Amino acid sequence: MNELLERTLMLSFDRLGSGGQMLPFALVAREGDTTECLTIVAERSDKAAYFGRRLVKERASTALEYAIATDAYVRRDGERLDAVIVEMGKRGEAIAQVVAQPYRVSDGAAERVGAPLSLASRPSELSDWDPHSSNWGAITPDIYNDARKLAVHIVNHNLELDENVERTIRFLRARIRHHARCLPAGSSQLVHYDDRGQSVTASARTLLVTGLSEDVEVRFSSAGNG
Amino acid sequence: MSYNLLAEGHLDLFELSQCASHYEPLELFPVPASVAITAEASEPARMTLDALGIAIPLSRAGAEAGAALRALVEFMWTQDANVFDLYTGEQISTPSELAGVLERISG
Repeated sequence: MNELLERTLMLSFDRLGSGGQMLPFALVAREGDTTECLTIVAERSDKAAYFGRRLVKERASTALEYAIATDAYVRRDGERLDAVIVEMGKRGEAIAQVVAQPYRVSDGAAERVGAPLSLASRPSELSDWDPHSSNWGAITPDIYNDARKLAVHIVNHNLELDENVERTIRFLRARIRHHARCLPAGSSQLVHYDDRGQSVTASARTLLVTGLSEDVEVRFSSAGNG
Repeated sequence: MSYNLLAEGHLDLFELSQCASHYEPLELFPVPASVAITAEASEPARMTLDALGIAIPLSRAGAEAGAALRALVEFMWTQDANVFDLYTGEQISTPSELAGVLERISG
């Protein structure tokens, strides 16, 4: 068994044995044979792994490998079993493995039931995974001009408040990047803000242009070019 | 044109990408956390939360897209995500507010 997995399970069962409840934690092994143990604080148990990944990510520059342990359950042959779920990743490997160690508690002590089960794999927190690289499905440009190889985004958003301008820019940056992966080679993109009837400040207009990549063309309906 | 929403929160973008096909009439894409965009250069830098971009192309609007959007927004609520309607700029946090969005899309 992987050494870090065994250490993680031993620590998990130590914690389970002292009261039957295990606070989720992360182990981060670093250069110099040091290992940091971090207790994960999450208001919701189903978010513990998420917050554990964030703790690991913050230490990714010096981490060699990591494990995140949470207490949950799995089903085996239709039977619901309590289980310690462990996610493990190593520097230099793009994929982390997720395994479950079923257990039962009797007389206040937790004991392992069978061998760990392989559950899934996912991007390692020690790799530079790009969420855009996953398959998110098809795109539908608002308009696509074949002759000009131009995809047009017609944006009819509320642009009167700063926070709405910020959300619009984040949304457009990501959608433009998402479309760029799927559009025919050589395509460019244009954003057309339909700002008619809105009071959009000069600084907001500047942000709506400069907030996007330089190779994206931008127009405003109020400027009379659309 | 499309009707656009943004769901912000502590989202597992990998898990979301794995189930994106369940909401197929919708166009979904990741909006990873980044340094916030501000007009004031003096404002201290802060990070945004991860988010999911949701676009409903009007050419695909209809009952199927409405059902998918309802299911997705309700799922986002279970993830404690804040869902914003970018058309109105308002947060969608109740079933009646969601019903209003669905009506605008189908109307």
